[in-house]
Amino acid sequence: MIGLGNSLAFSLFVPKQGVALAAYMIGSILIGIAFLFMLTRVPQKYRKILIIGATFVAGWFYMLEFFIPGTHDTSLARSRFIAAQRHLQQSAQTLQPLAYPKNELSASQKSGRIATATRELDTAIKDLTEARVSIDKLKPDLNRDLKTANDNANAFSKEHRLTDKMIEPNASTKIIQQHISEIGDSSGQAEGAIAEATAAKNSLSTADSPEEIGAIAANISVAAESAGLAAGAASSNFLTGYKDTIGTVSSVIGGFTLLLGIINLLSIHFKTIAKHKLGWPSSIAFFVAFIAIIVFGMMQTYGRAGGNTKALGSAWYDVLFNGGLAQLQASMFAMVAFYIVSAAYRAFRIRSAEAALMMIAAFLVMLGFVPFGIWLTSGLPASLSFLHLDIIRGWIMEIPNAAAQRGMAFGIGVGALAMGLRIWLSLERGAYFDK
Amino acid sequence: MQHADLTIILFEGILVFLILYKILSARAGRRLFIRRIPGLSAIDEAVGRATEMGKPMIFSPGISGFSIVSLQALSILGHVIKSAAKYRARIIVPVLDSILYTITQESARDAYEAEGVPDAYNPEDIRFMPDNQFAYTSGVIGMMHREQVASVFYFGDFFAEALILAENGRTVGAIQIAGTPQITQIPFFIATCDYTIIGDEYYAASAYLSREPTLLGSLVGQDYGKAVILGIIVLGIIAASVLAVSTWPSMEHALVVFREAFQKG
Repeated sequence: MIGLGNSLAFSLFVPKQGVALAAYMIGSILIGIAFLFMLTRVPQKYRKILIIGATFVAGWFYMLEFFIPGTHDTSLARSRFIAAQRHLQQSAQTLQPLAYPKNELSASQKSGRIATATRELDTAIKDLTEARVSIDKLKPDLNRDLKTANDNANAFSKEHRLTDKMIEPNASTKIIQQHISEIGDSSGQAEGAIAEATAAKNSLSTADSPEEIGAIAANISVAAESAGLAAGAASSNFLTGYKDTIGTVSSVIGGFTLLLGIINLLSIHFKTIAKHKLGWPSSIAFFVAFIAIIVFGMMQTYGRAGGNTKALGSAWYDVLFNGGLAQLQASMFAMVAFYIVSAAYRAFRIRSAEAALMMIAAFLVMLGFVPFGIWLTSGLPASLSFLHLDIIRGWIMEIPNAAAQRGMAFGIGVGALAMGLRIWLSLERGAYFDK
Repeated sequence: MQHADLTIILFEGILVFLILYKILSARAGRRLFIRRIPGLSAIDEAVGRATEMGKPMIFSPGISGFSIVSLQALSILGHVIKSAAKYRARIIVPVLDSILYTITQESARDAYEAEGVPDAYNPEDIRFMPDNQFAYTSGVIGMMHREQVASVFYFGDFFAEALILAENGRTVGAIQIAGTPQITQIPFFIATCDYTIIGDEYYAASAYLSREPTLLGSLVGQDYGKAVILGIIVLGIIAASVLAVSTWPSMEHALVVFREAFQKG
């Protein structure tokens, strides 16, 4: 019985080629259509139960994938990288006032700031080094896992006489490869950040002029960015590799629904032409474009390499896609500029205290972004530097605006969590979700 | 491929507990208050206007495809369709994602059936549109102008096309109601639409419109969750301030900053 099951699984899931591949594809489509047809025959009551069940199982998969810790845990390294990034940013910010040529800081204030920045750099270098050591420790384990996965795949290919073209890395191999690549990138970024931070620390002891200190602060900011990128390495658990497979199921379902969508599109445009409804010539344009892009696209894809069919298909596809569609899209996008003017005119008319406040804020932000606005306040003395329009613009964008946006983002995040929870547990109500 | 650490598990656990607890207590019969949201109250007004004028409406569920955001949009659509079905007003729904398109069709059919007018459902009013941002935009604009719509609803994810759509809706004189979780697009909708639902009001819409205890409970649970986040932020501010004055180097730094501030003054 087990042998029969194995041979059935082999015949179904082992890669095919030639006639077998074509038969496999046609068979899969027919089975899919039959399955969908059966679904449409299921009474409404049971169909909802089916949807609820599928949603619940899929929800469990994603929840477990997220909550089960990764096999090769990078969380310690990640937290160190993030801490290092914060220290580096703090260091650069501390040095920033010293980079202004007209700063009026005393010698003790300057030395105090340089000492603070150096301390932050020291802490950052320590964090970066520890994180790098921690992440490098994962490499041997991952390489061993990859070797085992490759050996298994090779043994399978040999046993079933599969050619290289028929083999695609399986889920676990792909995940390990991706993991190794991410860890390599992370380690490289960490190495760069350590080098930048160390160089900055050494230069800081001898730097004197505002220009030199400004350049060091800029280098520290670069190191902070590298530390942030190094924190990107993720971990995976035994379910992570199957996320792609679940995504493929979703794409397959999308493929079937696309057919229904196209039928709707063709039907609407056909009726528009037949009944000579308003704008019917546009429907003719739709049919011409629809058929042309399919024909030339297929000629381009399936035409013999180097042949006339492929060349003709490529040329016309290029005309339709890059010469037509892309240009039309760009034109639509360009219209935004004109609509912004009319919308801004309405929004900035002072009809209430709030509108007045908004107009003043918008005026300051716009001026703070253009060279003319920056020039307007460039002559102010250093003691009034906080009145520079670019500083005011930065304050409006980074303090009140960012605070409001983050407040909204928290609310939206919690709202999305509640909505997801309701759908997962079938607690959602409304036309589609009612039992 | 990031995985939850202990903090995330704890934090999400608290939020989920609060939401589920409030849902259960609402289902047990506890009465919950929800404040008035003008944008959502105006939905009936927009449907009524379309009915009086004898013109259709457009409901755009955004351009993000199948997601939590578009499912929420469908939930709102269900209420709008039910309201439209009562007055036999016509509503056109342009959808750009094929999966969402089939769900929208079923959702619309269910809503008409729920109102006892299944014959009022026209499958061609749920229109499949190209899976392309600006092709979708031009398609919807074309519909607005051809059909001279009386009302337009925008609920879902919108990006650069938000302003183009809403300005054209204004040009045809439609009453417009918008709601999106895309924070950067909210100002454009505020400038051009008659009513705009801001931030998390978007996720409050189905609870507000249906007054269903489960949804109301979930909404109150969300508010408790936000209160927890606010508490963590306040604690964070206090902790950071205490840390700043209790460690010598930072204290020195703080003194330098204070001294500079007074020198400037």
